[in-house]
Order: sequence, then C-alpha cells, then structure tokens
Amino acid sequence: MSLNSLLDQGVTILTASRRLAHALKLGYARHAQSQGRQVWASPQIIPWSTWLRQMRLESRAASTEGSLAPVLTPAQARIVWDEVVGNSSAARDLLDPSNAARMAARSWRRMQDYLIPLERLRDFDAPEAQALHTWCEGFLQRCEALGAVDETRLAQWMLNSKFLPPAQVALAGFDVVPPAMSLLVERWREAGLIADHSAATTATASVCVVGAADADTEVELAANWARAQVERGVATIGVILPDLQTRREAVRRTFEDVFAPGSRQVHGVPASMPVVIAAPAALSDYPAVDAALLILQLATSPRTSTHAGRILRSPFIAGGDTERGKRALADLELREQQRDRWDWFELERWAGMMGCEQLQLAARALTTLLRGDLGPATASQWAERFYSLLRAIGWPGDRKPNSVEHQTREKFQAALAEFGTFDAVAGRLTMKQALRRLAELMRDTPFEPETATAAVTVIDAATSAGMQFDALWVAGLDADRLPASVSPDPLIPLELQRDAGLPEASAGGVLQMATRQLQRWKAGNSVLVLSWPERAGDAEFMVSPLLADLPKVAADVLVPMRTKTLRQLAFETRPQLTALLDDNAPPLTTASARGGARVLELQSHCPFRAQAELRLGAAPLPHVGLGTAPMDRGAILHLLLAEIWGSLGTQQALLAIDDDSLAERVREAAARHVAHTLQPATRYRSRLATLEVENLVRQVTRLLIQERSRPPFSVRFAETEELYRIGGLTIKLRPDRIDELTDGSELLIDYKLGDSHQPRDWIDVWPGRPSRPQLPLYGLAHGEKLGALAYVVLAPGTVEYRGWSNGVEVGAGVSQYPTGLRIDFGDPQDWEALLHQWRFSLTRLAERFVAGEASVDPLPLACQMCHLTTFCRIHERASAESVGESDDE
Amino acid sequence: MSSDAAARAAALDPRRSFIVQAPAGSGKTELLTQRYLRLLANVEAPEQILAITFTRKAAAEMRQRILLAFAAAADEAPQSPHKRITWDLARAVREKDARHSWHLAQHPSRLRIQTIDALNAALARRLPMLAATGAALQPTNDASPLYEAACRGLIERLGDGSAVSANLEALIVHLGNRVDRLAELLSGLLAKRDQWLHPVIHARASENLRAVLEDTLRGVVDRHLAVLCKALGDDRVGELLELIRYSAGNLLANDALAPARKPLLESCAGWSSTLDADSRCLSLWRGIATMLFKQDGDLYASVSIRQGFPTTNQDFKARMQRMLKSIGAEPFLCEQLAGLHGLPDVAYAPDQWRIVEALLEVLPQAVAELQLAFQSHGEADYVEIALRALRALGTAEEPTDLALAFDYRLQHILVDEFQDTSFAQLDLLERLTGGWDEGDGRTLFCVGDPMQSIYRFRQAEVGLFLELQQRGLRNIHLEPLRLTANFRSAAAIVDWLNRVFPAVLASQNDPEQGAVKYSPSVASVVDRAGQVHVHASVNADDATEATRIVAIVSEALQRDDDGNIAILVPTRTRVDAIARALTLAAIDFDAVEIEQLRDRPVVQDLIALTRALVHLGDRTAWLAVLRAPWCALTLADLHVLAARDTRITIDEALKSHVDDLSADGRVRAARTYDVLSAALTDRGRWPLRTWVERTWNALGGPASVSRPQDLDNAEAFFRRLEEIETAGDLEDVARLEAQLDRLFAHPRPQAGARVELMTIHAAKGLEFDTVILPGLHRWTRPEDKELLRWTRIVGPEAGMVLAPIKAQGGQADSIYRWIELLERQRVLRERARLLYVAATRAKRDLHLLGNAEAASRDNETALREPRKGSMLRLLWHAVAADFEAAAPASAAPLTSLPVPPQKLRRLPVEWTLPVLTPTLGATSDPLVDIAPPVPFDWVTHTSRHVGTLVHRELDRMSRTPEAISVTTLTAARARLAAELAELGVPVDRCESACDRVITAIEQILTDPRGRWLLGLDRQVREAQSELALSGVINGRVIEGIIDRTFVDEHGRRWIVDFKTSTHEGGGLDEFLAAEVERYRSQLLRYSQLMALFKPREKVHAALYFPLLRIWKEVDLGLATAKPESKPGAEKVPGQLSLL
Ligand code: SF4
Repeated sequence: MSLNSLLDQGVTILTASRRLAHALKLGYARHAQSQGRQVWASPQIIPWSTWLRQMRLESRAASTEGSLAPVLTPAQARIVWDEVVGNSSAARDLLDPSNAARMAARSWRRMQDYLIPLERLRDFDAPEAQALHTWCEGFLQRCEALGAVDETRLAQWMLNSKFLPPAQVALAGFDVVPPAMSLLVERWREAGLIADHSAATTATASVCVVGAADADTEVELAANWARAQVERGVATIGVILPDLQTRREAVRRTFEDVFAPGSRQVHGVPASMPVVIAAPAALSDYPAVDAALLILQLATSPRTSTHAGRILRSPFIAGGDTERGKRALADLELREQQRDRWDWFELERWAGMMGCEQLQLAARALTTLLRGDLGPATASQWAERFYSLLRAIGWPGDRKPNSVEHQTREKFQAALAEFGTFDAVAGRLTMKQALRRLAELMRDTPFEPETATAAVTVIDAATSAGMQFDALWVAGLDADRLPASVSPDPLIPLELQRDAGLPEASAGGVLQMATRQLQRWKAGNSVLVLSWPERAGDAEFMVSPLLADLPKVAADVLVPMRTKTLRQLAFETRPQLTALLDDNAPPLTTASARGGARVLELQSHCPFRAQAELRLGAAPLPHVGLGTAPMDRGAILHLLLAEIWGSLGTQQALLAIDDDSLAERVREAAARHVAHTLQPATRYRSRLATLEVENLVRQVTRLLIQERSRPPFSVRFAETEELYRIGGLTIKLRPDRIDELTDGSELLIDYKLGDSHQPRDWIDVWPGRPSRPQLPLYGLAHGEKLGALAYVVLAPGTVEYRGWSNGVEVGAGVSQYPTGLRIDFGDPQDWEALLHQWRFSLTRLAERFVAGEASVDPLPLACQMCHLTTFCRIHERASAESVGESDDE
Repeated sequence: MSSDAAARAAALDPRRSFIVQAPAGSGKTELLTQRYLRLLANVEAPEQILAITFTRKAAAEMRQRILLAFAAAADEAPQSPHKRITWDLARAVREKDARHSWHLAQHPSRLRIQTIDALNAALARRLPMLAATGAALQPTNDASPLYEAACRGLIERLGDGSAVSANLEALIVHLGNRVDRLAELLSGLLAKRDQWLHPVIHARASENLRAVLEDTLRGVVDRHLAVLCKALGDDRVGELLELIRYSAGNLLANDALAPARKPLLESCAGWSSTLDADSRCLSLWRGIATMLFKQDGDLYASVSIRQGFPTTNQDFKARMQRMLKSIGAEPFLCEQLAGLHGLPDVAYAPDQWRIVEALLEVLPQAVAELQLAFQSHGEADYVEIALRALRALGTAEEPTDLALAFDYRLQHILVDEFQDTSFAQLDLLERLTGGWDEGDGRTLFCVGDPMQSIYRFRQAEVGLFLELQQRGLRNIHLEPLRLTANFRSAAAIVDWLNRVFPAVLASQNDPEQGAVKYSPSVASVVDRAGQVHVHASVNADDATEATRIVAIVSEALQRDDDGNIAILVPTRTRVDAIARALTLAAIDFDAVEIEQLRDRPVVQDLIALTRALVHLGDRTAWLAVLRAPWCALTLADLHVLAARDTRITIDEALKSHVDDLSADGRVRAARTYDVLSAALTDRGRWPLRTWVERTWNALGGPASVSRPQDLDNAEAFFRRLEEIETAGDLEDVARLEAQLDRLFAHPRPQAGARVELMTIHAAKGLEFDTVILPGLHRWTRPEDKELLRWTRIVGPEAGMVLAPIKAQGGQADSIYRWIELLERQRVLRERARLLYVAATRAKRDLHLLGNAEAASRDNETALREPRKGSMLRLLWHAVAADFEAAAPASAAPLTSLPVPPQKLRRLPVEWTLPVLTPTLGATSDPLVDIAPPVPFDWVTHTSRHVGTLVHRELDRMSRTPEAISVTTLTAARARLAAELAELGVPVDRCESACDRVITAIEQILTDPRGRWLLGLDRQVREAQSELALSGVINGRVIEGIIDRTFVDEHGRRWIVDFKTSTHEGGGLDEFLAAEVERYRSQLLRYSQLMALFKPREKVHAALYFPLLRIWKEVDLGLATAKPESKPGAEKVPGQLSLL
C-alpha cells in the first residue's frame, strides 16, 4: 500500500526528519488534490523524535503513579555535555573541548541507537574509549541530578515500559533502522500497530549517468536540466548535491543564474524562483544577528577598533542609513587616531564628537542600561537584558525589513526564548558567560527563511532519505564517494561498533549502504540522472563503480541548452571600449596647496599621485597597528628635539650642560611628549610607550653627544613655518631645524627615523624628477645663506648626520659635494650645478602641479609605496588591456 | 628497459624494504603500481597497505592505475611481456579479492592511497584524544589571521609582570621597538612551527643548553678545520702561521690602519702557540683567510705592503707568493680556506644569548596563544593537524597501536616523491613504523628522485633521501635501488643532460649542504627525434625575449597538430611580458596559477568596488570606482566632485554636486550612482560576494573586461571574497588587498589550450613535447630575515644550532650568518635541481633562452658572466660558446622604449545591460507576511505557552469527559509545571504560569459559556478539539488547527479560538477590538477551510477569553461570499513550514 493511502486511512507516519515530514505533507496535498478534494483532514506526519516526546508527554499525563522525568531539549543537553566534558580531566589538554562535547554526544546517541552498553567501554584502554566512558557517566549523573532524561534514551524507555502506540503508525525515510528502533518496531508489528508501505510504486522510466567536467559544472548542468524539467511541467524535481551545506551560496547563485539570470544585479528583483535550497545556514551568519552579537560583545568587554568600525558601519543600528556617511568618516577617524580599545561609553563620546547624533542618542540609551545592574543572572533574565540592550541601540535598524530580515528577527527572538530554557541546566551566568552561550546557540541554530513551495528541491543525500521526485538528479557520484570510505565513530572502540553493526564502521556496511541508496534512487523516481565530477583541481576522478552498468550519456546531449548567465552575456555583447587621453586636472586656482613640500615630492614621484592625493583627497585607508605608528614616532621625535633645542639655543649651551642633567631633561620631555601623543589606553600600550621613551632617550642622547663635537653652531629656530614661492606655487615649509654656522651660513636639517635616507635621493632620478626634493626645496628657500643640507638619521643602531655642504665645516657625515661620491654621467658636477639642478627641477615640478599635470608616470619603484593602483589604473599598462580600442576625442 | 629489469624485479619483493632512486621519466608510477598490486595479493585486507603521495592528483592517478590493472586482469592475458607483469600481479589480486570478499572493484575507496595532509587529517580525526584535538579540525587555507591573532594576544601581555612579558620586551627592544615587525616575524615562525617546536621545547628543557649548543658549534668548526688542516698538510700550516704573524705585525705598524681591524691583527701578531685544527685558533684562522683572499673572495694574485708584505723583506714576500700559488692550484683547498670566513663563533655573545633565551620563552607562549586563536576561530592550519597527527602516533619508542587508526594492522607503507620529505614527515614515518621489527613481514618502500627535490619552501630536505639511502630508517633496513631508463625524452636530450648536468649538480652527495650528485639516464625511446636549442641573446630586454618565445611557439604549433608546448618559469614574477606577447600574437594559452590576480585590472576594479561598498569613507576606492571603465569620469569631473570638500564622502558629493558635472560626466555619474545607491540600501542583505557581484554586474563590469579569462579571474576574486567575509562585511577593509595575496587564476577544466604557461613547480610530474625555458639569466632574491634561524646538523655528531636575528641596526651575528649561508647554499643547490626538473619535462624539444650582458671596453665587447644564483650561470660551462657567438661586435647599452601615455578606457555612455533569458517564475509568492514586530519579553512569551497548555488539557479532558474536574488538575500541578518548563517557560515563572493554566480551566469549567463550548451541559454535535484541516484556498494549500469546533443546538457550526490573554485596567473594549482584528484573518481562514469541509453548514466564528470570561463573536462577513472568490489579501503564516 502506498504512503498516501495509509494516510487516507488515518495512519500516523513517523519520519526520519522534519524536512521529510514537510515533503510528505506536500505530497499528500498533491495526492488529495489529484483526487479532486478541496479540503481534507491534515495527515498525521510527525518526525520520529517529536513523536517520541509527544508520547512521553501523553504517557505522563495518563500515568497515575509518579511523573516521568522531563526530557531535555537538544540545546539543553548540549549545555550539559559541554559542562561535563569541559570540566573533565580528559579534556584538559584538548584543543577544542567544546567540539569534543559534541562528538561525545554523538557517540552517546549511537550507543543508545545501537544498544551498546556503557559498561562495555570499560574493557578498552584506548584513551578515546576511556574518555567517552567518563563523559557518558558524567552526563548520566548530571541528568540524574537535574531529574531529567535526554532524548536519546526515549526509545529505551519505550522498550522498558512496553509502550504501545495509540494507533497504527508507519515509518518513512529510515535508510538504516538502528537496533533500538527495530526492536520497538518488531514489537509493535506483532501488536498489529505497524502499517507497512511499499516505497517503490513508480518504476524508474529512465536512468542515465553523466560526467561533468568538475563539481561546479555539475551544479550548472543540474540547474539547467532542472529548468528544462520545470518548463516541461514536471511537478517535483529533486537535485541531490554533496556538501550542500558548505556550497549553499554557490549553489544558490548557480540556480539563480539559470532560473532568473536577470535578477543577478542590484536592480533585479530578488529572485523568486521555483527552487528551494534545503540547507539552512547558522542563524549567527545572518548579518542582523551578527550585528546583534557585535553590539552585545562591545557591551561586554572592550573591543578592537575594527570591531567598533563594523558597528559604526552597520545598518542594523538606529540611524544606520541616514547617518551612514558620517559614521563611515567616524570609522576613518578612529583608525587615523590609532585607538585600538573601544567600548560603548567611548563610542558614545566618539559619536558625539563626530556629529553622529542619532548614534550618540542610541548609545546613550544603551550605556544607561549598562550602568544598571548587569551582575550574574539566569539565562532567562539575560535574554531580557540582552533584548533591551539591543532595543536601546535601535537594533535591527530603521530600514524597512524585507521578508528575510523579518523572519530573521523572529527567529532571533525564538532563539532568545530558547536561551531562556537554559535556566534549567545552567544556573546563574555572568554577562560574558551568558553571551558566549548565546553566541553558541546562535551558531548551533540552523535557520532557513521560508519560501514558497517550489517544484525544485536542492538537497543533500542524507536529508533526502525517504523523499520521492518525479525527476531526480544525483550529483557527486565519483568512485571515492559512492561507496564512501569507512568512517567509524572515533570514540567508540571499533570492535564494539562492528559487533553492534554500525554500518559506517565496516567496508561491508558502507558498501551495503551505498547499494541500498542507489536502489532507492532508482526505485522511487521516474526520471533519474546520476552524475559525477570528472576532476577536482588537477586530480582526475573515476565514476563510481556502482554505476558501471547504467547507460551513459554525454552532458551536451542531456542538457543541450544552457542559460547564459548575466555575466557571460554582458561580456559577449560588450561594446568596444573607447579610449580618452585624460591626464590633466583643472589648473590650480589658488596658488597654495596643502601638503607643504610633499606636493613637489609626490609630483616628482608620480604626477597622478600628487593630484589624486593632494587635490582629490585620495588618502590611504589607515590600519590600526599593534605598536607605535611610525607617524606618531616621528611626531614625538620632532616635538622632543624642537623643545630641547628651543631651550638650549646654541651648541655652547649644550656643551655647558652636564651629562646627567641633559639626560634628565631629555627623559622628562620624552616622557611628556610620548604620553601626550600616544595616550596609551591599555596596559600593553603603556608598556610600549615606556619602551618608546627609553628608546628616544637613548637615541637623542646619542645624537646630542655627537652634536657636541661639531664646530660651534647655534640653532636659529626650530620647527617654525616659512612661506616660499616657487613656480607659481606658495608652499609652507617647516624645516625641522636650521643651524647657523660660524661663517654665518646655514645648515638645514631633517630628522629621519629610517636608515634608508641618503643625500643621493636629492639628485634627479630622471631629468627633473628627484626622489626626495624636500630638503633641496628648503635649501632653495634659504638661497644665499645655504651652507649645507643634512639628514639626521635616528634609526636603531644608527644615529648620524648624512649631508652635503658647499665646503663649510659642519661635522662628521656632512661633506662637501661631490667629495667622495661616485658621480654618474649627467649628475651635477659641483655645488653650484647642484643648486642649479634643484632650482630647475623644483620649479618645473611646481609649475606642473599648478597646471594640473596628472599623467600616470611613476618613478621606478614608486608604485610599491603607493596605495592608488586602483585609481590610476597603472596595471592596465602591464597587461594587454589596450588592445583594440577606438580613440575617443 | 633492460637496463632496469633487475632493479624492477627486485622492487616487487614483498618481504624487503627499499629506497628507489628514480630519475625523471623512469616509469616510477608503474613501479609503484606494480608493487602495490604485489602487496595486495599478500595482505588480509587492502587497508593494511598505506601509500602516501605528494599530491591529490598523484593519489588519484595511482588509484586509477591499480583499478584499471585490476579490471584488465579479468580479460585475457596481454601479449607484451612488459604488460604481462602487471597483468599477472593484478590477476593474483583478483583471486585474493574473490576469496576474501573485498569487493575492491565496487569499493575502491578501500585502497588507502592518500596525501600526507589527508593522512594527517585522518589520524587527527580518528584519534581525537591521542591527538588531543577533541574533534576533527577544520583546516584553513589562509591561516595568517590566526597567526596575527596569536601575536596580538601575546603582545597584549606586555606589562602584566610575567616572565613572558619581560622576554617579549627584550625582543621588542632588540628589534628597535618595531612591534609590527616582531609580530610579522613571529607570524612567520608560527607558520613553520612544525620545524622548531619540538627542538625549542627540548632546548628549553635541557639544563645546560648553552653548553650543548656551543659544543655543537665547536664540532662544526673543528670538523671544518680538521678537513682543512688535512688538506693543507703540516708544512703549510706551519708556514701560514709564520706568514700571518709577520704580516699582521707589519700591518699593525701602519698608523692609518682602520681601528676595526686592529683586534684581529693583534691577536694574530701576538699568537704564541701552535696553529691547530681547533676552534680555539679560529680567530687566527680567520686572520689567515683575510690575508689570503681579496674582499670579493678571490685569492690574491700578488701581495704588497698593503697586505703586510713590504718590499723590504723579499724573502717573506716570496714565501707568501709561493703559498698563494700552491693554494691556488687546489680548488678544494681554496674552497675550504674561503669557507673560514663563514664559520660561526663557537660562543654566543651575551646579548645574543639573552635573545636566545627570550625566544625560547616567548615562542612556546606564542604557540599557546595560537591554540587559543584556533579555539576561538574554530579552525586550524595544516601544520597543527600534522602536529596533532604526530602526537597521536605516540613516540617512535612507544608507538600508538595503529589498529586504532587504521582499522587493521598496517603491513606495508609506500611513499612517493620521497625526495621532498620534511623532517616533520620523517618523524611521522618513524612513528608509523615504530613497532616494526626486521623480518616481521612489514615493509617500507620509498621512491623518489633527489635530483628533483624542489620543495624547500615546503620544508623538503633532500638530505633525508640521501641519509636513508645510506642508513635506512631507524630500525628498518632499506635496500637502495636505482633506475636509469628514461622513457620520456628524445635521445638527444638525454645525452645533453648526461653531458651537462654532472657539472650543474654537485660532484658529491652532501646531505648537510643539500647537494645531490647527478645520476645518468639511458635514453629508452629510441625513435623520438628532438634536440636542445640554445637561444642566446645579448643585451636584450624582456620584450625581445617575449618575441622570440612567440616565434618558437608559433613554429612548434605549426609543425604538428597535437604536440603540446609548455613555457616554464622558475617564479611567477615577470611573466607579464610573455603573456602580453602571446595575447598580441593571438596564441591561445592557459596560464596555470601564474598570474597574480591582484594585479589584473579586472580584479583591481573589483577591489575598488568592494572597498567602496564596504566603506563609504574609503575615498580612494570611491574615486577608483568612478574612474573605472563603467563610469570613467574625467579628472575635471572628479575634481568637481572631490576637490571642494574632502570632509564629506564621495557618496554625498555625488548626491549634491552631480549637476555641476560636464554633460557627459553627468550621464555617467548618474548611471553609476543609480546602481551604487541601490546597492547601498541593500547593505547587510546579501553575502558580501553576492552583493559586490550584483553591483558589478549592474555597473557593467563584465562588459568592460577584455579577455574571456578575466571572467574566471573575477570568479577567483569572488571566491576569495567569500572565504574572507564575515556576515556580509569585512573584518577590516584595509586588509583586503593583503588578503588577496597569492590569488591565482585556475583555468576551467574545459579550456585545454595547447600552450601552457606555468611555473616549474606546477610542471612537476608532467611532460610536454616542447618545453621552453625563458629568462635563465634571472636570479631570485635571497630569503627574508627570520626572527630565529636554526639548522639541524645531521650525521654522527648530530645537533642543533639556533641563532636569533641581529639587533635592529646592530652587527651581523656570525652564527646567524653561518646558518644563513648554509641556507643560501642549499637554495643554490635547489636551483640547479629546479633546472633539472624543467629540462626533463621535454619529450622532444628543449629551448633555452637567456640573456647575457656585454660591456664594451676599448672597442672590445666582453661578456659578463651571468649572475650567481641564475640558472644561466649553472649552465654557463655548456652554453657560453653560444653566447659568445651571439655577442655583437659592439654592445649597445640597454635602452627601454618610452611608454606611451596611458588612456582612460570607457564603456560607451549609451551602454545598457543586455536582455536576458526570462525568469522562470516561482509557483507562488513567499508565504510570509510582515507583521509589526512583537517585542520579546517573558510575559508575552509565557502567556503563549499557558494558552498551549490550556488547549492541551482541554483536549485531554474532552477525550475523557468523565475525568473532568479541577481537583484532578490541581493534583497534576507538578506535571503541568514540568510541561510548561518543557514548552520553554523559565523555571521561576512556571509556578505562576501553572496557576494561570489552572485558573483558566477553572474559569471555563465554571463559566456556562465554557461548559457549553465543551459540551458539558448540553449536548453539542460533531464537537472536535484541535481539528487539523488542510485545503486549497485561492489556489494555495493551507493548513489550520482549529481549537474547538462543533454544531450547537441551533444547528450553527462554531469555530472557536481560545485566547488566554489577560487584561488589566481600562480600555477593555479597545483591547478586545484589537484582539479581534489581530485574529480575524486566521479565523477567516479556518472558516474557509470549514466551509469546504462542511459545505452545507453555516460557519460562525468566535474568540473565547477564559481568563476574562469573555466571549466575542467575530463577524467574518462570510454569509454571502464564497470562499474561493474572497481575495486572499492576507498572507498565511506558514503552517506548512518547518519550525
Ligand atoms: S600606483 Fe604608481 S602610477 Fe599609480 S599613482 Fe601611485 S605611483 Fe602613480
């Protein structure tokens, strides 16, 4: 008798999975409609585990003597397992105790299903078996203490209590009936309470085997085939894919590409295609839920800048849309400031400073709550607390939710409610513990937004057990996967598994499962396509030997027409691109520019970069690093030396001061500037700041000692601004230091932290293009008085002067140009020529900047230090991109 | 064939263990297959044989071969004696299979042929406790975020007062306060912790570590000196001592002597004892080396006062000249003397030692932090899995019972590509064979070719092959076998290899140096034509070379129809010119994992788009999006948008300034902005990848690329994006580009062009008719600095040497440098092997392309010897003549052509998306209506459960009316509480909820209306509780569960829903009205179902509030309307859905 006729008779069907119950209900509805019925009593189709619970409930209600212990929900049982395993000595060394708990729970279930007595584990001394034994005992004890049982033991309870179902039942979708269940079934059958049904009613009309180039192509073929079936009017179509869970999104995209190619772009209506992809994602993977967890995490403990940034950019917070620009800039700014510890109080303040009023308001509401009592509490109390925190910040945002978001929110609340049930097993929790448990629950909660019933079901093999389709495609049937390799339970001793008949544990069992599965596919579906990927990467696969005798067909024959994806079609119909020479920005209208000497440096490195960075503001996106940012380090050094020389004034003063007081002065100033600039907010940052001070003191003292042995000089001014006009551009100059030498000439100094700086960089690399024109520019500005230029390098291990002079005596490291240098052909031959080159090159650079010259023309290696490749499109040059385009004038 | 017949026959003996050296083309896979078959016939279960391959591809191939042989053995025996061997072997397996019911043909996954990674993963999975994993580990392809997290965790410990913190500080200071650099170096070390973890832990545990390490160093130095002294002979040693004393004295007398040189000279001049092969004389020996060699490493040809040999003493000068001459005549001696400079000090400097100690403390902590990162991310790297697998196997002395992991006792192990084994893998092998005894029938079979060991970057140690060849593996004696036949290459090529490569590879095997001696081959395909072509060029640039390659390829393509061609390069850099030239010449080619996709324009555009979407404040990305071909605004227009105010986002600027743009710019900007703003409202609604892809499609991304491969490249980008996204967002958008590092295109399987451009590594194991090796003159940069270097000293005086990186800005440390030199030496050796691998890929023609530099001096052109480290240098002895011939009379210096100005590529302004295949509509709309959200709180929640329980109880009562009484209910209080808890009511609310249930039922039982409903007083007909009906309403199947339905005494059909809500205070009417509205559509649906179910009855609906004792009839206006014609405006909560 068929399933549907059993249902007609009111037999209750117990299914292997919830999804199968659903599918059978739909099947019955079709059956009823095909008989012309418009209404019918809903068929009784219940997942086996749900039914067990129901029967337990009813027995309890009916029983007169003492009440039956309550049954833990799977989530509750998981908490118990977690505790038992996590607190065991066996788990102390484990990398992942939480997963071990999961595994133990699975092994426990298997032992119940296959009637492996717990004591048997004692006979084995493999650490796996022993750990499992300890854990299971711990679990049982804990259950006892809670006065509860777990779901896996319900079948045993039925056996012991000689339970009989109230009416006839039938089973569906059990490929493998484990002994615990088959004992029950046998007993019920004797009592006449089992209705048998024959699965195979439809003989398969056509079977074929097809090879696909690889797994992706396989999905593509299946999707196109499914589309053809739908077009042909086939009512139910199944596509069984391996690893569906991990490939879910890719599979969804492929089916969209095939069924609704036009929807794959922002203006396309989100596809409502007749396809259901039966693979739920974790609830925590949904952006709204992820945002909720981010919000709560930040409420629990300080977090990194990237965490704060993600909250700032989240649309799931009040004002997330209207303030999106400001919040993005706020994120930018916090990166700029290199602050790496954030909490909601800080963020509230920050929002205020950055003009994000709505965020500030919402954050204030949240921090008000945070100031309240958030001490240890039960899970259910935490559920309410968490929810009110989320409401305070305006989660899930003020955008009109779409269907998925709406359902996500409802599911989130349902999960919160489930979280409340942890009261029974978890006791009081701190905020951190509670949030960790909640996050775990969200990760463990599968969620799939509801869609309309559809003709095509994409599903994995295990879940599809018991389902029947008018047409079915099964993919992934290569020799490695059908039959699979043996994969026994890792904790239960192999011997026990084999004795108990766990099919996964022996080659014979696995082979038998595979054969049976294949038979089921062949029996239940009128059209059947079996496919396999011919290769993965560069490894070649073979078709499953079990398919050897079935008729083969070529992919092109089976699926002659393939839908073109949007991407393909757009490419194939692409127009010829036009090309436009566009390497000039509008000329500068004001004669000044931000950036000081950097203007000329960038213009020299690459004209495009100068224009993009200085005029269009195309700055790099800052990244908050672990240590002190080089920028900050530079700033501190400058401040420190400016202060020291500001107070000393002359070398004489330096010579007059004794070592100890000098060191003292340096240390005091260094500590002050470091503290002020870095404002360390965490322990490790304060420690780094201290190291920074040490380092500064070391280096600066070393420098000052060198300065003592120079010929006499006085520091005219340090760190002040000068205006200089060159090539039509007024540039603000801030030389680090100017020393007046005995002959009245000046030495210009630039402090450098890197060891790589060399005076050579002042000479043109290409005509008119020096790589470091900054000091030469200062030099020009000081015209007649210029006697020498020098870098003062303060790198680890190196503290020294590096510079050139016109011959005036400056001290070690600064020599008369070009003494001791290897002068290449074309380099200036003497000091005068050098000045001339500078004047010429720098004037030209300034003129070009003013003119808006913006060609993509980098000096060698300039691109390596530049963040603009996406903007300037330099990579088009290296590739064959320019082939065949028409000019556009 | 005959050359190897004996070796091949021996290799099939299932009782003996072997190590087989099998050069390129020697038919190694066939040999492995045959042995596997032979072993199969000898075991109880196929699982008892384990074959380890280097790649998945090789595993698949080997399995396939075995199965094919197995299948073929069902047929007649083949004629050819060669095939007959395999047939016989397979035949025996078939018999065994039948006898033991293996069903191999149906169940090939029983053959345990796997890669080392797969083996590790299986071990860690199967032995979770022994491996201490707890569960299967999820390996990640990109572990760098995990390393970073670990380093961050570590550095955050600074200042916590612990020893780790102090040591960490020492390291930070050592590196000049560059914390980021420390983190980077630590990450680098974590990625290869399989190499140092055990030694480091071991070292930490040893009491007098410093002495042990310094002993090892001393051993290294002493051994070198001993070899040197032996080569010198006593006379020359004595003479050298006198010479150095003399010259040092002279040099010291010079006032202009650089102060840095003084100490060494002083110790030389004042040396009073003898010169021995003893590390105590090391400084003197170094002085001697300085005396003998110039800065560039060449021996002095003559000496003068500058070396300390003034003309005033002609005797000493002459003695010195004699010495130089005699040494110069012995290359080996020269090498040894020159090597003195590289020798390490035999003691650690105090500063360095402090850092060694700090590292030994910090590194294990870094690993601990890494484990935490694994835990919190739920994934691990491959190294961890390997380490765990090792751990699971126990020690070689106390091995784990492998039957636990392998189901059966392991009998035989075969290892392919053994030359690329690392120390860690050797460990694994030692433990796998731990309990084996000689002659117990278990065997190990290692095959490989040390000449083809090219995976140093994966820690391959070619020395291990050589070691095993000599000594076997621990307790297993391995018989060495050697194959010589070459079944691949034309005789001309084999001859060339035999002639040229002895000098390219080493003259002796040297495990420590990683040096491998050439092992000649015998050409075994006699009738294959072909030869080696040297294409010498002088002072040419990349473009010239690319042109040359195109010519070679074109010719080869024309010559025959199916020969395949490979262009093999040592590294991925610098293939652009070749790719470009091939494209321009319209030659179809596959670039196998060779183009850095990050640099492809299509990927650049996608990077910009992703960054722009993810971060509105990323100005560079936004500008780039506006500059990309789909929008391509001019600089003038960009200027209008961006130059005015850099404190607003470009997104806002687009909104407000679009009218100020040029006419063309306005259209372009509007089109782009239309797409971008639509995309932005979708933030958080799609997986990041999908979001970006939809936007890119709408913008016209696919229409603006130029090569079909670019669609694949885009796909590769999208895939990576999918891997790194978190819930539709990026963790840190600033790191996107870094995360795209090492992203390569994978050609689609159906591509199959005849020309392939790939790295030599990728070509390993493949063969081609024509092989082209371009750019032989290029060299590779030396490896980066490491925080810690270490090397294992193999051989009898085995030991370990550690050396930390030098202080930032400090002096190089001699120990560190010595290890570095050793490594560099090994790199050079590997480069030679890489060349061997490349050359042996050729079946017919081998083309060598290189460029030499020539300089003109005095009207004569002289070729410069190719750079050390380049392949051309290695081949120079064989090809120099070709280059001499190619050198022009006068060499023009290299000039590069000016680059044409870059133009802006633009999609025409009128472009629109193409029209697509129509969407196949869904069968019905989504089922869910978007009701205003109900807030979450326990009151609401609990009252729902109270309602459920009330229904349930009433249902139970209605089934046994005789039992109806409140007393029984009160007695069942405990049960009710339990049921409420099971429904999800928090424990502390169960009591009060229980009260409400009881009250509600009491109310019903005492309320006449309630009694009527339940049919307690008067008889009602056809009463049913919880009636579940399904039906077709408006073409859609819906299901409803009706709380209570019956026909009353007036013949009216009632549908009643119980609502256990309570209401306090005023506004009861409003409350009731709201409730009615809220449930109206549900009641309507029930009524429609009922109307179908009982077509002749008139349906009335009502809500009943037992706690309020209120009965509220609801007028559904059904009187006249037929259910089907009712517009189904409201959506049905999906009863048919999954919960
Ligand atoms: S990446 Fe290179 S070409 Fe582009 S702007 Fe920067 S320096 Fe210029």
